[in-house]
Amino acid sequence: MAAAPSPDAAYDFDLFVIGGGSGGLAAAKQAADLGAKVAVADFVKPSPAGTTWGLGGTCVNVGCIPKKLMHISSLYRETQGDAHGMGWETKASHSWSAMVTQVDNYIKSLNWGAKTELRSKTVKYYNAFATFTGPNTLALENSKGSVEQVSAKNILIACGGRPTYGDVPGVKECCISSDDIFWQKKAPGKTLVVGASYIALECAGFISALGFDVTVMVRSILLRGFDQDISNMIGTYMEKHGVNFAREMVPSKFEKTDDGKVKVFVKDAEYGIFDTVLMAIGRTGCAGQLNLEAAGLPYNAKSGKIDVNDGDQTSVPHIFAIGDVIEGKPELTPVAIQAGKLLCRRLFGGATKKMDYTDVATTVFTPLEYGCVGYSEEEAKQSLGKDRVKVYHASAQPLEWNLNSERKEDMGYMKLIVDKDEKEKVKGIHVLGPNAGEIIQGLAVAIRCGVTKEHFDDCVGIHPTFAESYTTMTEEKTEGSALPTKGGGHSWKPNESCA
Amino acid sequence: MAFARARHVAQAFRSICHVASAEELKRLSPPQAAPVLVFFTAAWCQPCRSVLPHLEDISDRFEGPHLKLAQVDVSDSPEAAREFRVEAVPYFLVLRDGHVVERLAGDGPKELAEVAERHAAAFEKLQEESR
Repeated sequence: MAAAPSPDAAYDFDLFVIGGGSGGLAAAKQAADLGAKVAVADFVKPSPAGTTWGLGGTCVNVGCIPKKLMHISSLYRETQGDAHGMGWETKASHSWSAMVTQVDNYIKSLNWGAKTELRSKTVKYYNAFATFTGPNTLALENSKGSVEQVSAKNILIACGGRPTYGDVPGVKECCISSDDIFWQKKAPGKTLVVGASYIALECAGFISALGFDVTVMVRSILLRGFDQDISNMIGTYMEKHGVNFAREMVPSKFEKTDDGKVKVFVKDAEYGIFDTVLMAIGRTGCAGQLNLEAAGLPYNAKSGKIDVNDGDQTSVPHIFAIGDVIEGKPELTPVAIQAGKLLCRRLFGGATKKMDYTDVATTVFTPLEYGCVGYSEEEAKQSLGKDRVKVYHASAQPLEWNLNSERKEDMGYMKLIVDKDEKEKVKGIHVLGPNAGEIIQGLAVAIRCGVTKEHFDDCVGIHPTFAESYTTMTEEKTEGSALPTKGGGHSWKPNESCA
Repeated sequence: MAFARARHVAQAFRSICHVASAEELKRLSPPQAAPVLVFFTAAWCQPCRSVLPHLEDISDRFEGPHLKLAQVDVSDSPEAAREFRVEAVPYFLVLRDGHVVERLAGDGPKELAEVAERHAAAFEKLQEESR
C-alpha cells in the first residue's frame, strides 16, 4: 500500500485531501513532511440558516472549540456560588454577544493559523468544493462558480459530516443547529433543544446556565450508546439546575410566528412558542455530496458514511477515508488526527502501524461532565456476559461544594467495570463530575496498560481531590441496590434496564 | 502636558492609514522617502486591538515628514502578509526604499516607540546632512 514519495508525472498530486478539518489537515501536513506533493480542498456550504466559516473543520469552527469555551463560560455561574461560600462577594452578569464575539475572534485566529501552516508546509490549499469526476480526478468548484480539474494518485476523503435536520415540516425554515448556535450574536432567548445526543445536552446545558429558559425534547432515552446510569444522572442534574425536559415527545411541525419566533407542534397540537429551536438529532456524513459514483465508490446513503478496512482504505484501493465520514468509528477529533497521521506514515513513510480505534476515551461536556473509556456497563455485559462483569462504584463530591448551599447535595459518581475472569482487569472506567475529561485522560493510558482493580487499590490517592475515590472503591454495584450515598443524603436508583 | 493632551484631542480623528496590498505598501516607501512603520493586524486579533492606542500615540508623536505609519489587515490582504512573511499578528516592520530594514513581533509599546523615534531621527539627520 506504500505509494512513491516523489511526484508521479501522470498526476498533479501524490495525495489530494478532501476536507480541511481535524483529520484532513493532520494527514496533509504529515504527508507533506514526508515529501509528498499534497493539496487540500475545503469548502463550507452554508447551513440552512446561512452560517458559514473558515478553514479548520467542525471541531475548530462549530464543534469542540466553541462548545468547550461556552461550556466553561457557563460553569462560572456555579463557581460564583462556590466562591460565595468561601468568602467572596461577587456580582456577575453575562453578555451572550460579547462571549460569541470573543469566541469567534479566537476561532478566526485558528482559521488563519491553519492557512498559514499549510502554506509553510507547502500544502496547496483550495477553498473549493471537491467532487469526483473519475477515480483519480476531481472537480474543484469555488464560491464564484469556476471549476478547476485536478488529478491525484491517492485521494483521502475527510469531509466529515453536518447536522441532520430530519423531515419535520418547517424544520429548515424555522430551526437552527450546532452549525449556527456558536455564531449567533443575538442571544438565544427561550430555547427548545430537540434531541438527546451529547450535542443536544451540552448545548442545552450551557444555554441554560447562561441564563436562558431551556427545554429539551427527548424521543426516548438520553445519550444513546453511553452508560445509561450516568446518562440518567446527567438528566437529573440538569433538571435540578433548571433545564426542562419534555420526555417521549417529538415535534410534528414548526411554524414561524409574525414576530420571528417559532411555534412548535407535537402531535399537531401547539406545544409552545420559542425564540430559538435547536435541532440536535444526529449528524449525517457528507459522502453523498462528493459524486462518489464517478469513482465507483459505494457509500451508505442513510448515514452518509463510507466503509473502510482496518487500513482506512475504501473499496477503491487508492481512495482512503478518515474521521466523521467513516462508518462505525468514534466521531472525535483526536481519532481523525491520529488515523490521518498513521495513514500518511504508511503511504509515504514506509510505516505499518494501523489506527487502533479501541479504548478511545471521550468526555461529554454537560454541566456535570462525564468522562469514560472502555466499555459501558451495558456493553460489558453484552460482550463478556453478565456473569463475568463486576461493577465497583462510588459517589464523591468536590470539597468546595460542601460550602455552596446551592449544590451541597449534588454528587458526582464513578464506576469501574471489571472482568472477573481476568483478575479483575478493568474494562471500563466512568466518571461523572467536574473536570471529568482531565481525570479520564490519565486513566485511558492505564487501560492501555491493562490496569486491574488491584492496581487501583494499591495506588495511593491524592487528597483532597475528587478523583482519589478511584483508589478506595470497595462498594460493588449489584442489581436492585441503591447508589452509594454520601452518608445520609438522597439516593438515585440505578437504571433497572441494566439488570 | 496640557498642550500634549490638546494636541492628542485635535488629532483624535486621525487614524493610521489602511493599506490593502503589497504594491500599495511599497508605493508608500519609494526611494529616499521617509521610513514607514507597518502594523500587520486582523479584525479578530484581540492583542492587536490593545496595541492600537499605543500606535495612535506614536503617530501623534512621530508621524510627519520623517516617519509614516500604515496598517494592513492580514485577513483582507493575505498576499501582502505572505509577501512580507508575516505568520502571526500583531507584527511590525519598518520599510525604507521599499525594503524591510527592521522586524518586530510581540514587542511592547515602549519598544515600538523607541523604534519609531530612532528611524524618524535617523531620517531627519540624513535630510539635514544632505543639505
